[in-house]
Amino acid sequence: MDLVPMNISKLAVFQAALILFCSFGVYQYSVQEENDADRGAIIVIDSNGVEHSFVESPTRVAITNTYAATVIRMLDVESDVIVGISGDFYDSSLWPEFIDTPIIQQSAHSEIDFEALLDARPEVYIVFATNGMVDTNAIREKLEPVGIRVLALDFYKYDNLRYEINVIAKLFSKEKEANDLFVEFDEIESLVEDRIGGISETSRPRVVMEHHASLTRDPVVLTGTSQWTDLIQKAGGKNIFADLPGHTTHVDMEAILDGNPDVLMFDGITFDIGFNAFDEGNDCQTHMNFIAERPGFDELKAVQSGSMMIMSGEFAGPMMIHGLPTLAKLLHPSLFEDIDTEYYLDNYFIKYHDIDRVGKFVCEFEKV
Amino acid sequence: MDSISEKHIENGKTQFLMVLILGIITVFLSLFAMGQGSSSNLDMMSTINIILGLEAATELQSDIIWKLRFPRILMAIIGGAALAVAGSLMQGCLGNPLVSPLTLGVASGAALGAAFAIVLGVSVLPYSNLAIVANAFFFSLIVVAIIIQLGSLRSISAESYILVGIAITFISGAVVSTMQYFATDAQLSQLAHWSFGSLSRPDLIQVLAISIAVLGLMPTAMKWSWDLNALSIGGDEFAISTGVNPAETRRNMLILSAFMTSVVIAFTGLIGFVGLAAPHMSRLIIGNDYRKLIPCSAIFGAFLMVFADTLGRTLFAPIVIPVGIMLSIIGGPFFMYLLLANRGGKK
Amino acid sequence: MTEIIDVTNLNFSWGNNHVLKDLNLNLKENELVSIIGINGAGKSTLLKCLNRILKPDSGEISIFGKELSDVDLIELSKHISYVPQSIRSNFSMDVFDVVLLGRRPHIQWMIAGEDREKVSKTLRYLNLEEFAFRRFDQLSGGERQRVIIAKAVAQDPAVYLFDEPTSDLDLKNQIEIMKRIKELISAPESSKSALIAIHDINIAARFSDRILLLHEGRIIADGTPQEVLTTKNIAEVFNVTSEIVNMHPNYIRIIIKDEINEKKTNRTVIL
Repeated sequence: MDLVPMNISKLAVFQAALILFCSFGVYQYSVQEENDADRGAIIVIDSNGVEHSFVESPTRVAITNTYAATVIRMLDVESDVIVGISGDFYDSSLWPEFIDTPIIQQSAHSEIDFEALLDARPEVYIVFATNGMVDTNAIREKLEPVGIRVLALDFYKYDNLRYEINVIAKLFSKEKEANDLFVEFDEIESLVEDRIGGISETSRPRVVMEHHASLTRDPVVLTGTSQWTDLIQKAGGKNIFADLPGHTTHVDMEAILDGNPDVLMFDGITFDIGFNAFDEGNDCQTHMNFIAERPGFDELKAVQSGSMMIMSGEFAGPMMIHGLPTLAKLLHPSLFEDIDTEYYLDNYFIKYHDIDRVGKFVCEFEKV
Repeated sequence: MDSISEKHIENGKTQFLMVLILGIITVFLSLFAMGQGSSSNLDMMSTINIILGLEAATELQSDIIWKLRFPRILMAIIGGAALAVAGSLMQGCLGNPLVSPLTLGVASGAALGAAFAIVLGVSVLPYSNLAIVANAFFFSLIVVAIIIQLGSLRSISAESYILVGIAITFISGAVVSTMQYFATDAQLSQLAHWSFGSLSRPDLIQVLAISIAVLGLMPTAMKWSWDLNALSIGGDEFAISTGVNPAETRRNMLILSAFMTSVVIAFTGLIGFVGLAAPHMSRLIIGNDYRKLIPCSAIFGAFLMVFADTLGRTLFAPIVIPVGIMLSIIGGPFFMYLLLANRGGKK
Repeated sequence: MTEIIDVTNLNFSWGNNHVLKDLNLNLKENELVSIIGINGAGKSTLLKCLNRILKPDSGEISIFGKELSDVDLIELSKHISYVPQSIRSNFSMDVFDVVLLGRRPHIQWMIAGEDREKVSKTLRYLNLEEFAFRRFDQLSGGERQRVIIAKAVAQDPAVYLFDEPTSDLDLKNQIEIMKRIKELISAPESSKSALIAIHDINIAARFSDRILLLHEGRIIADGTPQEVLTTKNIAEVFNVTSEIVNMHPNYIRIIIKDEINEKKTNRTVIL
C-alpha cells in the first residue's frame, strides 16, 4: 500500500501545504516571542536606530572595543559587568581588570567565538554602529535570536558622542555621572570656543587630514562625515575637503596643492604612538619627510612653516573632547600659549583610566 | 602579382592604417589628459603651452606637470600596453580566450607581498618608501619562478598552467585572507586601498624604469609572433608541423607575460580588465595575426588605461575613482556591446 | 630511388598498450604510400612519431640520412609537414593567413612577395580562391580540411604526412584532393613523397604507389595495392569478406560484403 500519493500533482499540493504550515508555525513562534518580551523599564535606542528595552540594568555585558569600555569607565560603571571582551584589550597596564576576561571576538572584523560567547552569557553585546569593517547587521541577526541585545554604539563620532554616552548612562542608571561628564565637556569646549571665537572664517587655518591608508603618491583624505572634520572645525580650523561625501576618499594630489593648506595632519593609528607607545623607530619623522618631498609640496604653506603633525588614535575616540585643546593649540599656537593643554590629556587618563599618561600622542614635524 | 596577393597586401595596409589611427587617437587623448587636473592654474591651454615651451612655468606648475601628471599618464600608457600585450600572449599560447595576466597567479603573488608588508611589516626593503612595492614585486617574481619551473616539466600542457595559476591564486588568497583576519582594522583598510590600483604611485624615475623594462621586452614578444600564430590557430600538433615548439613557446611567452605583469602591478596595485579585454577588442578590428595583434593590443591597452584614469580623475574631481574600478565600469559594458555587435558576423 | 625516411625497430606504447612493435618501414621519393588498418591500429601514432610530435620508446628514425632527433625542429619542418585531420581552436584567422603559416619555416619574420605568391598559387591549385579572405572558423569541416592541406602544400616539404586527409570531404572533393596530392608527388622534378594514414581503402587502392597494412603493431604487408589488398588480408585485418574488382585503367576496387565471425545468437531488439 502506498502512503505517499503516486500522483505528481497531489504530491505537489501536499508539499506546498507542508511548507505553508511550517512557515505559519515559525511565524507564529517569532511573533509570539516579540509579544512575550516585556516592555521593560529601560528603553534605549542605539546608533543604528534599533530600540532595546530592559527590565533592569544589565549585569553581563560583552564589549568589543576599547572606546565603549572607556565610556563605561568614564561613567563609573562597575567593571565586573563586563564578562567578555575583544582582542583590542591587549594592553594590560591600561586594562588590568580584563586580564582573565574571555575574548569573544578577536577584532572588529573577525568571527565571533560562539563557545566563548555562550560561556560568558552576556545580555548585551556592544559593537560599532557605522564602522566599515564591522557587519553590525550580521552580528545582530546572529545574536538577537539567542536573546543577546546588540547595542550599536560608535563613540567616535563627534556629533553623536553625547547621545551615545547617554545611552550607556540610561542603561546603567548613571545619569548623574553622565551629567558631570557633560559639564566637564562643556567646560573644555567653552575654553576652546572662547579663545577661537573671535577669528573669522577666512582666518581659520586650512587643514588637510590624511587617512592611514594614504600612500606617498596616492593620498586618501578624511572628508565630510569624519569626526575629524568636526574636531578640526571645533578647534578653529577648516578641513578643506569637508564638502566631499563620505568618511574618506582618494583625492588628486593636485587638489591638495591647489588648496595650499596651512596645516597637514595625519591619522596616526598605524604609527607607534598613543598610550604607552613612543615611536621608537622614528617612523613619524620619516613619514613626514616623505610627505615634504612630494612634488610641489615644498611650496605648500604647511610644509614651509613645518606645520605637519601625526595624531594618535585616542584623539578620534571618547578622548576627543579632552584632546580638543591640544588640537586647538596646534592650530592656533598663539591663542593657547598660556594653556597647558597636556593637562587635559593627563587628567583624562588619571581620572578615567586611573593611570599616569605615558607615551607620545602627537608627532610634530621637525624641520631640519 | 596576382589579385589574391594584392588583396592581402591591401588588407594589411588597411589594418596598419586602423592601428595608426588608434595610436594617434591615443596620443591625442594623452595630451588631453595632460591638461586635466584639479589645479586651478593649469588648465588645458596653459599645459599645452608649457609643454611646447611657449609659456614659462612656475616651479609649482612644472612640478605638477612633470612630476605628477606626466609620470601618471606615461604609466597609463606603458602599464596598459604591458598588461594588454601580456594578456594577448597568454591567450594565444594557452589557447584560451578567457585568460588574463591575472590568471597565472602573478597578481595574487603581488597582493600577498603587499599583505606581508602592510600587515606583518615584513619586507625585502623595510623602512623604505618602496617597502610595499619591493615586496609585491619580489613575491610576484616567486610566481614567475614557479612558472619557469613548470615550463621545464616534460609534459606540461596549457591546461596545467591555468590550473597551477588558479592554485596559486587560491593559496595566496588563503594566506592573505588569514592575514586580513588577524590584521587590525587599520591594516585591513590599508590593504584594501592598496588593492584598488592607482597609476600615480610610481614617480617619474620608477615609471621610466618600468618603461624601459616593458619596451625592452616588446620586441621579444614580437619575435615570437609566428609561433604564437601557429600555436593559437592550430594547437600543439599543428604547431609542431609548422616548426614551432609548443612547450618552449608556451614557457617563454608565459615567463614574458608574467614578468611584464609583475613589473606593472607591483607598482600600481591590482588592475584587471585591460589584459583580458584589450586583446579581444584588437582581434575584432585586426584579427588574430600576432604580428599585428601585439602592437594593436598594446595601443588599445594604453588607450583604455589613459581613458579610464582620466575619466576617474575628472568625473568627480577632486575625488579620484581608482583606475581599476573605472576600467570595469566603462569597459565592461563597452566590451559587452562590441562582442554582441560582432556576434556571428564577419569582422 | 633514394630513401627519404627510414624507420627501424620502432616501438611505441600508450601507457601499457604496446601500439607499435618493432616496426620497420621506408619511404622513397616520388612515392605515395598509404597506411591502412583498423581503428586504434596506430596509424596516426606512427605518423606522429615521424614528426617529433610523439617520442617513440625505441627505434631509429632517419630522414635524409640524419637521425630524426638530431634535426632542429624548424629545419625538420622544411622537409616534413604533418597534416592533422582537423584543427580546432578558439581563435581564427583568414584562410590566406592560415595557409601563410606554412611559409613560417622558410622565413625569418617578414614575408616576401614569393611567400604570398606561393600561398596564392596553392589556393588556386586546390580550388580555394573563393575562400582566401574568409575566416577559417566560418568554413565547413571539409573546407577547413582542404585549407590545412593547402598550408602543408605552401610549406613545400619533401615529405607530406597526411592523417585522414579525406575524412571530412565530399566524394568529389575526395577524388580531387587525392588527384592533386598525387600530382604533387608524381612531378619528377619535385622529389616529393607522401605517407597517408587513411581509412578509405578504396581511395588508398586507387591512388597509392604502395600500401602498408598495419595490424597489431606490425606491418604485415608492404607492396602495391594489388599485392596487399587481397581478400585474405582484408579478412584477417578488418574481419570482413570482400571482392576485388579490376578497374580501368589500372587500379583495383574493393567491394565490402559482410562482417565475419558474427556470433549467431538470438538477439532481441532492445528499444
